[in-house]
Amino acid sequence: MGINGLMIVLYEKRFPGSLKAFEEYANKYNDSSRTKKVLERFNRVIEKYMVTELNYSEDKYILVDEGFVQRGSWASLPPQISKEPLEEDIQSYCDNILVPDKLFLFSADSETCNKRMEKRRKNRPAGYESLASSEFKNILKKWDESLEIISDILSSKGCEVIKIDSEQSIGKVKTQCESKI
Amino acid sequence: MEYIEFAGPPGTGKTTILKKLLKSKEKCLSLDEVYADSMKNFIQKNKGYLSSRKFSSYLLKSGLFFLEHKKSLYLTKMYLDQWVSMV
Repeated sequence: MGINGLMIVLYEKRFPGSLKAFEEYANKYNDSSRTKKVLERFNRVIEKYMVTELNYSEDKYILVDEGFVQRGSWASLPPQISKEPLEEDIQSYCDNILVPDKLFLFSADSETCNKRMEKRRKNRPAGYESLASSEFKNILKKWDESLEIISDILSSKGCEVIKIDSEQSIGKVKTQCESKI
Repeated sequence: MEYIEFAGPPGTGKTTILKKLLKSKEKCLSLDEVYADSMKNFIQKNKGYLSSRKFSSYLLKSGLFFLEHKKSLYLTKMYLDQWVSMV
């Protein structure tokens, strides 16, 4: 067993039943090929957190991009949505993750998001490239809704949720975030 | 150590702001950065032992022992380092 595998085992020990819960969650909303991807990404997040906890103890703020919250919402949103994410499934998912101390929850109008993505080299995230504009807007809306549910659950678990209106200028958003760190 | 997660649909500017905060706030580090450093240090420190099956088994047992006794993973690591220095 490699270090990565060990981290997964240690995580399962800390959150008994978590791996099975992740698998059920991924299976419920995705076909087999996307389920594989979803589970790989969950494992990657687990590995990063566990290696960090094992080796790092300095008094710092660890900023997490694509962590458990983001992965949890993404996992229930395949390009072709066949099932609406259920609150009970999201609750079960949230019971098996490391709750961040703070969550910066970004939202913006779907038009704004689209415009920003068009400026990127890679445009949309992988898997969503071939969707029509209206379909992708629907994904963005569902993404917002799913994150709202996750953030409510995490808030009840002690996470401080800071909502960020990212229609504002980058400077203003940065100032808002800085004031919370 | 405090974890701050950034979440939001794509195109909301999460990563842009995160990168700016990493530059402007002294006490901020990214999880990716800490993870990469931790792995590097861990591998360097324990070079020669990582391929040993005995080491893997020990690491797992000590990790589980400390988790069962509700100790932090950092303590597990300290214990592990002590063991390595004695071998």
